[in-house]
Amino acid sequence: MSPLALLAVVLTGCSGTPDGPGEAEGRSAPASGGVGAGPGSGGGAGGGPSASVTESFRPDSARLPRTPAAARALIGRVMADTDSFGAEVVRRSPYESDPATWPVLGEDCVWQRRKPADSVLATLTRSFEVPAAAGKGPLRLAAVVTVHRTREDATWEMAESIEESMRCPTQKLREGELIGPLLAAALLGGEATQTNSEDSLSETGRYQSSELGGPHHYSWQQAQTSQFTVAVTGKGAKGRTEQEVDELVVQAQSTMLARLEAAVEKQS
Amino acid sequence: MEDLRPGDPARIGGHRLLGRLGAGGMGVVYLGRTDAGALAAIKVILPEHAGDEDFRARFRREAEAARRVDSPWAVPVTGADTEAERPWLATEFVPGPALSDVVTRRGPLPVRSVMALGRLLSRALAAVHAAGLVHRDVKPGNVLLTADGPRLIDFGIARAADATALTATGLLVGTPGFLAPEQVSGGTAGPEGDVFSLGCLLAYAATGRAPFGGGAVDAVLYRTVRDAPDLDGIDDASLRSLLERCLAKKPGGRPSAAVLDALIPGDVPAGATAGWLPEDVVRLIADRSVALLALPGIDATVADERPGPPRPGPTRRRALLSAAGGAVLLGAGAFAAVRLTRDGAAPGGKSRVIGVHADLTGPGAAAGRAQERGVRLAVDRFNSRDGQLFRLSVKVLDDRGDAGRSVRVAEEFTRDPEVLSVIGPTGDAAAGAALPAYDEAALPVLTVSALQIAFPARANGSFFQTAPSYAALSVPVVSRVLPRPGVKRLGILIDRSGGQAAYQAGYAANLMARDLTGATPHPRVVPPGTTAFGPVVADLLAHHGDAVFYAGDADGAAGVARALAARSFTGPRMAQHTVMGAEFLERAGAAAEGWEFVAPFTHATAPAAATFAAAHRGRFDAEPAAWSAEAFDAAGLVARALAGLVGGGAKGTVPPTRSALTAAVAATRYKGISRSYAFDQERQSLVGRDAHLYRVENRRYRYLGPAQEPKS
Repeated sequence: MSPLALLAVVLTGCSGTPDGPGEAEGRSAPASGGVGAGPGSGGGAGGGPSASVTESFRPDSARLPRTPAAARALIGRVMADTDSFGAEVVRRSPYESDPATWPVLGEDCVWQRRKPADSVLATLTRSFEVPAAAGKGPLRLAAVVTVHRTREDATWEMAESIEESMRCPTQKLREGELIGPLLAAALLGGEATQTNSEDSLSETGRYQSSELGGPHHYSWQQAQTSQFTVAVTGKGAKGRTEQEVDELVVQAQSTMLARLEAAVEKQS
Repeated sequence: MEDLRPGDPARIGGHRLLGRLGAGGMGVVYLGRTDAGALAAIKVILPEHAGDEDFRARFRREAEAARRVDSPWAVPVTGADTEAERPWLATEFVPGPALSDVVTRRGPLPVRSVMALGRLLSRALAAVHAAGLVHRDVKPGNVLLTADGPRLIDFGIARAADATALTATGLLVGTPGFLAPEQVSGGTAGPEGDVFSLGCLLAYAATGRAPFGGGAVDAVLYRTVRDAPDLDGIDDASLRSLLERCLAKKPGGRPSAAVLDALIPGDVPAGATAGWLPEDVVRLIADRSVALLALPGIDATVADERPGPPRPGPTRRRALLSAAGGAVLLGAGAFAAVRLTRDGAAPGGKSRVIGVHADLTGPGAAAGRAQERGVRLAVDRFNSRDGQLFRLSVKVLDDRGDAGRSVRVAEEFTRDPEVLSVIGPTGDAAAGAALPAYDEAALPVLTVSALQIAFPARANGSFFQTAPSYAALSVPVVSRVLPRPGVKRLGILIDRSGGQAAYQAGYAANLMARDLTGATPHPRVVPPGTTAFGPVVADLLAHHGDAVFYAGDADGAAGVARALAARSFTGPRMAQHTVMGAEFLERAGAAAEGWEFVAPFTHATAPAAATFAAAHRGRFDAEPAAWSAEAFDAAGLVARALAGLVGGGAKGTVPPTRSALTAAVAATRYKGISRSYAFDQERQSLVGRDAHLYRVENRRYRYLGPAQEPKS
C-alpha cells in the first residue's frame, strides 16, 4: 500500500475511536483560555474543523496540581492498574519506572530514559502484560501519565510526539526491540468523533523483537487534557490479534481519562 | 412532440397549431399547418422579449433578411409577423432526420455523399451570406437530410438575441466542436466562421467524429484553437485538402462559401439528385418521413389537402403516432425545422433536481456561494443542450458550516424524491456530519471542497470527493519544491491551528518527501494557538531547511512569513490553499511576496477555464471565485452520468434510481475544466492529484498554471 493509502487507513481508524466511559454528560463548556482556542478558521473551504472550540470538561483550578507532590498524588489517582485493562492483565517487573526519568527519543531514533524537561511536575510509567498462554506470546502494555506545569507545556509534548513519528518512522525501543514503520493520526477535541480529550494521538505500526519475533501489531494512544498527558502502548505477540491489542489500549486509556476528569473537574 | 398546453394559442398567423416542438428562453416552437395544408414550424416569441424594442427591431431586420435567402438547400421562411403582440416566424417543416442522427445511427457517409453535402451546403451558406446574415451555428443537428438533398435550418435568425440569453445561461453562441477559433476566443463571427463550421461538419460526416474531439467543452475549445483537426481515415485527397482549407485557424485563410463551391470537383452533383445518399440512409429518411407525416392526421377538423396515402384508420394512426413518438426520442433534430431555442425543455418536460448543500452564510460562505454558481452554470448548460430527455433544476440549502445543521440539510435532500444527486457539503465537519444520512439514502453526494483523507467508510459508497485530498495535495507541494536547484532539504511545519487539513497535508508531505525523493525532511509541529514562530523557524533554518512548507492556517502562515522574512530567507515557501485569502496578505504584508500555494482550484485566467469564466461573467456579472469551476465540473459529471443512464436504457424517461446513479458516477470518467475525474473503486476518492499553482506577486495571488506531477 502507498504511504498515502496507509495514512488514510490510520486516520480513518483513529476517527472511529470509541467513546470512553463517563464522557457522555456535561461537556458543554468550551475551553476558552490558553491554547484551547482551538483550530483556526483556515481561510478556504474545509480549511479546518468547524468545531472552533474544544469540547472538554471544565477543570476546577483549585484542584489542579501546582507542586511535584500534588502532581504525584494526582498520578496515583489517575494511573492505570491491572484492573483498568481487564481480568487477564498482570504487572510486569519492574512495575513502575524511576519517577525521576521519562522516555525520550534521541536524534538517533533510539528511546532512552532521561531526566524530564523542566516543565514536568511529575511523570510515571507502569508496565503490564497479558501473560503468554498456549499458542500465544505475552502481550505487553505500558501506561504513562505526565503532569506539566501548564496546559501549554502539555500541548508541546503532544506536538513533539507527532514530530517523533515524522522524523523517526522506525524507532528502537531498546536493544532487540524495533517499532516501525509508524503512522500517527492526531485529532483535536471536536474533530471527527473525538470528544475524550483536548488532543488525541493514535500511532500504529509493526513491532519486532529478538525475544518475541514479529512483526506484530504495535499501538500507541496519547491524549492531552489541560496540563496532563496520558498514554498507553500495546505490543502484539504471536497469536494476538490487532483488535485484541487495540481494545486493551483503548480500554486503559479511556479509564485513565475518566479518572483524570473525576480528579480535577468542578464539583457541582 | 408534446401536446398543446391550455395556455397555448389554437392558431397563429394563419396556422393551426398541432403541437409543441420545443420551448426555450426565446419562445415556443410549434408544429402547425397552414389552411392550405402545408406543415410549418412556427416560432412564437415570448412576451418578455416581444416587449423589448431592441429585440423586436433586430428580429424584424433578420426575419426580413431571412426571407431573402434564396436557396433550395436552405429551409425557406414561409411567413413572419414581427409586429404582432407575440411576434412569430414560420419556416417550412422538413420531415427528414438530422445529419447528426444519421451519422450516429449508421456511421460515416461515403466520400461522394460528403462531397455532395459540401457542394449543396456551401451554396446554402453562400445564399445566407448574400442576404447579409451569418448562420453562427452550422452543425450536424442543423442540417436535415431529404432524399433529394440537405436542408440547412436555423440560419441566424434572432441569434444575436439568443446569444444574449445564451451567454447569460453560460453558453457560447454556437456549438463547441463546430465553432471557429475566433468564435471561441470571443471574437465576432463572420461568414468565415460558418465556413470553418462547415468544414467541421463535413469532417464529422466523413469520419463519424468531430475533428476536434468530444468531451469537456473547454478541452474541445482548446483543441479547436490549438490543435490540427483530426482527419484520420479520410483518404480522398481532394476532400482532405478541401477540409484543411476550410479548417484554417485564421479566418482569412479560408475560402468563402462561394469559392468553396467552386473548389469542389465538377462531377459532384449540384442539383437535386436521388442518388446522393447511400440506400440505407434513403430508407431511413423514408421511414422517418412517413412517421412524421402521419402526425397532422390527428386533427380531424383540418382539411387534409396533402397528397399521399389516404388518411389512416384509427388503428394505423395509433401505430404511426407511436412511431413518431419514438422518432422524437431518437432525435429531437428530426422535428426541428426551426430551432431558435437553446435551453428548450425536452419532450415531457420532466424535471430532476441537483441539490447544492453549501455553506452560504458561515465561515466557508465564499466557497459555498462560488459552488452554487458553478452548479447553476452546469445545469444551465445541460438544459440548453439539444436532445435532452429531461430538465435539471437546482435546489440550494445552507448548512452555515454547522455540523448539526448539515445533518438536517442532508435529511431534507434525502426526503425529496426529485433530488437525484447533491453537490457539497462545503466544509469538512459538515461533510462528516451529513455522510450517514446521505449514505443511508444511497444518494450520490459529490463534495468539491471537503478534502479530508479519511471520512469513515459507508455501506453504500455514495460519497465522492472530486478534488485531491489534503494529503494527496502534498505530492505536488513536494514535487514543486524539491527538484529546485539548491533545495536539498524541506522543512515542514505543521501548525495544529490548521486542524485536520493542515495535519494531513503536513504529515503526508513528510512521508512523500521521503518516498519520492529519498531526502530526509526536517519536520516540526507546533500546538494550536501558537503565535511566536521565531524559535521554530530558527530551528527549521538551522537544520538546513532550504525550503519551507507550512501546513496551518492563514494567521500562522503570516507569522511564519514574517519570521522567515526577518531572517532574510528567500528560498521556496509554500502553504496550502486554505491559507489563500485576504487575511494572509494583510497580516504578512511584504513578507507574503513569493509564497506559493498548491490549490485544488483553477483560476479564471487558466486557458481551460476561459469559456467557463466568460459564461460566469455573463450570467453573474462577476469573475468566477475559487471553487466555482470545480462545482461546475462536479455537476457536469453528474449530468454526464445521468444522461448515460437515461439515454442508454430502455426505460427512456423513467428517472434512474439513486443507487443506479451512484454506480454510474463511480464509473464515470470525465474531463472537466479543473481536472480529469475518475474515482477509485474502493474509496470513491479521486484518482490523480491534478492541482494548480499560485504565487503571491505584488500582494496578489497570481495563477501560475497546473502543478506538475512528480517525476517517477
